Amino acid sequence: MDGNAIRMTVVSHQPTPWSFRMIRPLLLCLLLAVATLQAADTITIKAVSGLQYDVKRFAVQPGTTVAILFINDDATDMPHNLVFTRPGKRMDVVNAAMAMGADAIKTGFVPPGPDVIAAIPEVKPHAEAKLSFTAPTEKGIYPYVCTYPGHGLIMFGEMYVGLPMPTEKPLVEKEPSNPHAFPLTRPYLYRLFMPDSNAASVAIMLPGDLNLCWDAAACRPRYLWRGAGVDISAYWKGNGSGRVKLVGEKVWSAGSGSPLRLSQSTAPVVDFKGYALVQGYPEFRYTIDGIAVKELVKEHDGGRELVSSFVVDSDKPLVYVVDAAQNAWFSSSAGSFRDGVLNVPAKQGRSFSITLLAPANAPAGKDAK
Amino acid sequence: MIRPLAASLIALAFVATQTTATAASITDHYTIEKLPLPKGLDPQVGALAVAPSGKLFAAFHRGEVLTWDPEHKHWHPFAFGLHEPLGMVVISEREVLVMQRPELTRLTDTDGDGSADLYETVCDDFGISGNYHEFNFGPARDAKGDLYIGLNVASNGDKTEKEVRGEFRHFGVTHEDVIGNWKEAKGKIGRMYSVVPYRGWVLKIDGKTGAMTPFASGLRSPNSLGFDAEGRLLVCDNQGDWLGSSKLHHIVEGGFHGHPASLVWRADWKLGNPLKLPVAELDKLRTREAMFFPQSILANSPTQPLLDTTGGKFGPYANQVFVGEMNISRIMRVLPETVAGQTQAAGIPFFDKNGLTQGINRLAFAPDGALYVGQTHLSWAGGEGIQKITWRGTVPMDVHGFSLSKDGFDVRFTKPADAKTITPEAFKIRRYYYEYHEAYGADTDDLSNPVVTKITPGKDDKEWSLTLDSLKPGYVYEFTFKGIKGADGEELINTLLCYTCNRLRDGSAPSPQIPGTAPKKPAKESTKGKAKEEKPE
Repeated sequence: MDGNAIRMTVVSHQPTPWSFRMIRPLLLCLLLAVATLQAADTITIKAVSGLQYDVKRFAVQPGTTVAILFINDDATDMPHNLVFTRPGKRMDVVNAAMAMGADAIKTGFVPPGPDVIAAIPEVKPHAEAKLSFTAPTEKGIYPYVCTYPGHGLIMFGEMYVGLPMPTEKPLVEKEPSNPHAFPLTRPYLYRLFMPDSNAASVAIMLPGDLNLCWDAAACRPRYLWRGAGVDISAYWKGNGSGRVKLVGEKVWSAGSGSPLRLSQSTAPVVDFKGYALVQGYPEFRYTIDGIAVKELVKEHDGGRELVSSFVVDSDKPLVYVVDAAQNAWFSSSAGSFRDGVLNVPAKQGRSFSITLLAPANAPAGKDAK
Repeated sequence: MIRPLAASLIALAFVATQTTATAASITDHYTIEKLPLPKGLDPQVGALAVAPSGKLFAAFHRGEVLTWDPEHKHWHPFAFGLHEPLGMVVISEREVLVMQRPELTRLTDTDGDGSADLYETVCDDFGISGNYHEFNFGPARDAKGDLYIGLNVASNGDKTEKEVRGEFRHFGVTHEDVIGNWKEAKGKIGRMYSVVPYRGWVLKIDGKTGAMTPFASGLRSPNSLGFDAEGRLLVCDNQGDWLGSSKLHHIVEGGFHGHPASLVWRADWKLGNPLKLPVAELDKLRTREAMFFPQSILANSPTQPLLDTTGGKFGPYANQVFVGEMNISRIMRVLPETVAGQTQAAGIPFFDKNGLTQGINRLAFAPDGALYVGQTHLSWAGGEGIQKITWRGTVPMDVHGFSLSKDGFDVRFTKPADAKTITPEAFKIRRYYYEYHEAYGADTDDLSNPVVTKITPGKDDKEWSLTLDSLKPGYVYEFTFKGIKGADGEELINTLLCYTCNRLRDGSAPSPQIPGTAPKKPAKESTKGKAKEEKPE
């Protein structure tokens, strides 16, 4: 695979009248060249509303020329790109594009590296671009994906190289239909009446399949589940009497007691103050006994772990209490856990984090740490 | 043979044109258009507010706040994930306050990318039980910058969540009853209930410190709040239990506005279950409504009161108050006044049908004087989307002012009236009251038909004083205007007006209007709850 010669040619990009005139001779040459090399049919792929490609799947023979016409037909005026990756590397490429930060603009959100086999950089709304490349010689299912920020989780398709293409089977990963007019990509959150938590709760869908219910009355994480997240359709279709359903499997839960305290024996007075969004992740703000706390929640290690990063406006020693019923492993960047209680020494609690190793599956039994 | 026919057709056409020229249509004076909305949006509007630049902030059922740039005709996402946002105030181009189920929230776009990245809790010092009917409304901001929010009571159409925020309090059932044996608890808890703090209250939030003060109780579904030009805090409440018909309240500090469930959260409350109190006791405690919206006549689900702050850019109604109506296709005006210390008001349609979508939940004025109208239904009768109403610059023949006098009413039109059309027969009056009782809705009681006995012209042909043969306090005076025209020949555009007369000018007040006090001869007509099951509670 690595030895394959990949020819990548972006023919046109956003043909405004002046640029189109300039490009036309080049375009003609290239079209002729393609036609001479291989009489391949052009595959037209459109980007459509709702973060989708209209073509979810197509098949080619190994080593043949693949000619793509990519039309950005998204009625919601969203830019898109089209990146072909090596098998199984779709999310790696998506994350690599995310990691480029501001540099991504220069390459049209196409990240460098061997996982990308061909790509059309960012195409503005209602513009189009062409690409031809030689299909890999190795058989396989090669994903194509939009690596524009926030699109990659749901906007993709599959190129079948030398393999029979199923006609009805859905794509490997489920494509949630977007219930909003604007893209919703993890991490995202909803304030909701959540099952098994306080009526004041927040559902946070983290990248990957990890979801967190954070209780805004107790100011603490209440449970984790793995899967598609929340089904709010019953609530949304009516006046709010329909209940929210968890989609997925609950893998960890805790009671409503306050874990973060100034002393182990006394539950603090907590007061919720809201949250900031840090790259889409909520950094909750609350006070414990009047002391300001920030708690940023994030998945880590591909969703195996939940990391809560605390900033506490106090030099006092802190305690983090894990109740015995919890089936998860905790670790901390400061202090040490003993019998389910973390003691953070004076002055070390200003900034520390607690990592919860989120079980992969629903708990079979109690396995508290 | 053909000629005479053609001639008569021409004559007919001429007559028709003449008629059209004088027939009153609000669209002769106002245009109405729909705003384009992004695909994929559930366009049920919970809140509208306009920034000084003209940027429109709109909040929707699924928790989004989007901004509309009217110049470039472009929608941009501002915030996501809110829980049923139902009210909004703009602080700046980058900052809004939004009322959602769990709290009043300040949304700030700190980095200027057009989307909020800071969601700060301004006030969550009230309970939420998880019951669907606990909608929250406001904020309304007074001249000092203090904020007022309104909290619905819960409905026994459903129970509470297992974990509620705030103390659970009820003098008939426990939280365990509600969760464990709802079938039985449902019958005891009250049709609409307030089991966590301040449901059914208006709360005041200090604009500087954020400190919350419970302000007034007795509300049922206060959708929603606004100030008039005199600084009265006006709130619409919806027909239901304890509300014979929908009401406009003038909220007063410490006031109990009639729905008893919320009384348990009074700091000094010692009377136990308010539902067990005699109606006469509750009637003595309560502050009377400023106005009834007679059910099936004027409105079924009045919504947001909005002061016309356009200074005349929206027509002749500057400094008056508009009110939305969710159930029927209508925007109204209300005309509050103070009589012997009591607020009372007239209500009159402003814009009926003519392309107006039903479901009018929110109103907001743009800097250019246009009125944005946002619709919702939440599975009740209503609609969806956003419309924009713009004044064409011509004045409709309309009632501009309406005020109680010592022996009748003073009416002021927007334009001089054709004196020939101002006759006693031009004013048909129905007079009735709505009993204060627990049952859902009420019949019109003690219906009669007072007549105009004398008409006195005022200082110009815009103002007229009507003398009635009988004036009694505690009644709705429902006027239907017949044949009134402007001096320019235009017919009166709105021919219905309902004035709630709590007191007379001499200060006389009504005797109790509670079960058992109605005159023996019951009214034959009933207007009770025609669309009762179809409307938001």
